[in-house]
Amino acid sequence: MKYFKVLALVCAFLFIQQSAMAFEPRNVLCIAPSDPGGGWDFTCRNMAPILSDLDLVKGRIRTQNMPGAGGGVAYAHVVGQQKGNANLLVAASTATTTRLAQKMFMGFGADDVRWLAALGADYGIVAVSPKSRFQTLDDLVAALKENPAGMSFVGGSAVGGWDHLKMLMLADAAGVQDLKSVRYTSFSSGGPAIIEIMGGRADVFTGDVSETLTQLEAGSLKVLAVLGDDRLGGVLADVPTAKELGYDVIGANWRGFYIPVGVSDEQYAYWSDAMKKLVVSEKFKILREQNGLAAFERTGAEMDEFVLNQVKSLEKLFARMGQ
Amino acid sequence: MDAFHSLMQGFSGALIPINLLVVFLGVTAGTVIGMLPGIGPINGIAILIPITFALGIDPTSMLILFAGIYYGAQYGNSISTILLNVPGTPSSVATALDGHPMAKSGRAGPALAISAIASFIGGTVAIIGLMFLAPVLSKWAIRFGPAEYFVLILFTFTMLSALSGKQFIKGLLATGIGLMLATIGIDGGTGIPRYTFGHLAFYDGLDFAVVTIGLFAISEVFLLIEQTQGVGDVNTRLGRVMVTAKEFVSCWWGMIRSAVVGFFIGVLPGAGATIASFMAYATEQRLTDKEGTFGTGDIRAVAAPESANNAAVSGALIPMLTLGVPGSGTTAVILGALLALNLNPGPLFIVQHGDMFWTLIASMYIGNVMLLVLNLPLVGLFVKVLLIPRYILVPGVAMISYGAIYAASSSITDLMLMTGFGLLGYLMRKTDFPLAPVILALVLGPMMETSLRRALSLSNGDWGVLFASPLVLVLWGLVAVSAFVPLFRTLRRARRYNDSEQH
Amino acid sequence: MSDRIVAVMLLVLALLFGLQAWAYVPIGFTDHLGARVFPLAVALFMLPLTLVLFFGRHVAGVWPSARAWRVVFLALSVLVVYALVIEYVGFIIATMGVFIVYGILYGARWWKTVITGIIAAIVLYALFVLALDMYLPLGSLFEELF
Repeated sequence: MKYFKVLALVCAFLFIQQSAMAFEPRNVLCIAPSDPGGGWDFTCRNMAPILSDLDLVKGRIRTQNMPGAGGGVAYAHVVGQQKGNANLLVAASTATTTRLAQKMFMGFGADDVRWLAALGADYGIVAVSPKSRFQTLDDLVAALKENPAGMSFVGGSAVGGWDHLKMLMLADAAGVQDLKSVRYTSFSSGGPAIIEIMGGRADVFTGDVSETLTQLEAGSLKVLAVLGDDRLGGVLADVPTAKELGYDVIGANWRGFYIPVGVSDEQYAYWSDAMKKLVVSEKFKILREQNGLAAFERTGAEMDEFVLNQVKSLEKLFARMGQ
Repeated sequence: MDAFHSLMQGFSGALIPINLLVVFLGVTAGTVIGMLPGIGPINGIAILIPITFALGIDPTSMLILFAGIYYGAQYGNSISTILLNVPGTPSSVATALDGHPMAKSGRAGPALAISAIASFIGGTVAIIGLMFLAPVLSKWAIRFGPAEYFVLILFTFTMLSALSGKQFIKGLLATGIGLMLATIGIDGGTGIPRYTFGHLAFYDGLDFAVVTIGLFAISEVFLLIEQTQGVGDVNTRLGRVMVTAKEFVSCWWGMIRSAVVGFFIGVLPGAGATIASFMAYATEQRLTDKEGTFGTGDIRAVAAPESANNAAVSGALIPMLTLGVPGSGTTAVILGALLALNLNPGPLFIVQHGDMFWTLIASMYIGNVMLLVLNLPLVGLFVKVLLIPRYILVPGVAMISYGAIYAASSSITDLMLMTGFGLLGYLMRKTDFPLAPVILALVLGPMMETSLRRALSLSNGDWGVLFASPLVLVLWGLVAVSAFVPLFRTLRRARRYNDSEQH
Repeated sequence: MSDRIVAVMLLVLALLFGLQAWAYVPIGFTDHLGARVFPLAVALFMLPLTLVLFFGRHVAGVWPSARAWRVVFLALSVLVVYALVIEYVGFIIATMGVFIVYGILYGARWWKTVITGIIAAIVLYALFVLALDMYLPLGSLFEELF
């Protein structure tokens, strides 16, 4: 009887092992919801191939560009036509969750896909010109409280986009009641917005760390605060976080992947396990550092929960904007 | 003297075998990529980045390679534009206006040759500018705010009459159509989707490549199909291959002027090669076209935009290298690659990485010479494309376009739109509407709207910002001159006519 | 005559465009000018021009023959069908199809069009997918077969 039990256990173990081994991704395709050269394209073309190098995926991972609607075209495609496809990764970032919170994806919600992993993050910053009348975040917040329309913010995203949101979160933390009255001017990317700061035509830039590194080194931009949990290294080692200064604003522009719903739990587990191995690999760490991204890891169920929470809190903020 | 010394050192870096090979590969790959409509240098570079990183190529060689692809693509694009009327990017549309008529009348050879020569001159003038003016010009780029952009775009629009030929009203209406198309998509200033009718595919606006290729290439396909009923004929008139000395001389000053215009416009982030090429075309038309031959296959009208768009491409490297601010998608990708290698382009780049900067400059001289030397002898071969039987050539043009657009966007909607714009282009040609203003308006329309709104938003609603800087006043002056000169000229012509009547 | 028809069509288009623009009132945050000023300005720019076109002097245009229209319509339909089936039958077969129909429109022999179609489709596929590392569909039809 005892032997029988052991045998049954062994069999069960083998069976589980067997089924865990059964899924092996093949002909993996990574959808980049942007044109070649965009941030999501980078995630697909540079981050995903490391999975092949680590032998977590057999063969090459191909990239398919599917631009449109800030990721909405790809989202609708994945929800509508790729249900159950376990050989598909889709690049995503905070821009995806922002659009979801604004309900800009044709009524699709955040739970219409399975969030797989965040692999790294570009932290938000609050930057001004070195000659600015604001030399600390406290200066800025005090002025903002006094007259919310008294300064102009610029960023590389549309109204309602990520750079605008960071500004809103800051104003919210500063205690500004009428968020709509804070002036924000949108640019097509971070670069032209920085030029406005350098040219003295705008006051504050709420972009991300990677966009400002070159300017920091040259001293043509001054960062008042980093919107992260902890201080960053390098040129930003002396810059405090907003949290340290007493404003609870975290702006982490994460980069990662989602996959379609309808994949089995076992396949989902395979992928989140693969992502766990990816983020600790030496090759990935080098790539992440080279591209100015900070460590920011969420995988599997933890990622799913993180994204759903992020979307919920953004929805609240938008509701206050009347957006 | 100092610059000369640095340049010589740059040449010693650029002339080592590996870098010569890299320049060669870059400009060749660029030319091929540029010939394919809908595939730009950005695709080539984005795809090469992981490979160059994997191979561990030296950063200087990498920068040389990417720059080579970048300016080589502008070269390649003019080949398919002239031969087949397939401008793959808006910046080649101005070349199509006279380049394709030249090819149709059996002068494809001289058109290709002058485009190679003009590109060389434009590129070379821009490199000289890059060498001496880079730090100064980065300041001028910073001064250029939304108000300045707005007036610059108004100035470009005053040049429309030059692109409309004899159909001025129709040219203005075509501009209106382009402006309407330009409004489609999410409005950045409010987040409202405009004219998208609930379709996600329209949220990011229309793809320039889809509209340009549809209006020009696909409508050309329909025209060819319609004209040659049941005849498997070819266009056998190839004519001579080279430009004559007389033709070259007639183009010379136009090429120089256009190169200067192109370079300065190129330095402005976001303005770029399209504005430069249209502006050069219109300026030359006004200055030199006494006989009214622009638009019918005038060689000077091919030389000017080609010189300008190549100069603009090199000029666009300035804000990327000296400010760390990319002016276009392609320079953004190159910037990303440089950052990944721990090289920080920006105000200190030339100081810190002088050797790299000067090697790049030297490699661009070499690359431009290579493009000229490679392309001139190949003109004879390129024109033979016109000897391909129509039953292969016509579907070939269509399928390269459709394949490229699908490969870049995976979008059935884009393919359908391209077909729709093909039909629109066909109908517009049948009713004598010029096509170029549609593209110009599509590119400039959003810039005009957003820069005006940005200017007002930054000034907190004060319209005075449109007259606040000396630079913007100079631009208003240009607008005034440009708007009144044609009027003045018409009056003078009328008076001359009266004078001759009296005699 | 054709100019008059075009003028009326553009007039209607501009009116509809302007009317639609009126609806673009932001509900949340907005900049100073808002979303509807520019499209309204475009509509206002178009209106007088369409009138000038309508009442202006006209040159009789040369319209293609009925036969030419039929050919163009066929050529257009082929491209529409191409877009509809490319994901299903794949790039190679769809491209071959266009080469064959266009070739026959030009009066080429059918076997010549098939051969050029096969060669051109494979060359283009290799160019985009192998050389440029982009994505083109091989066809869901075949995936189901295997």
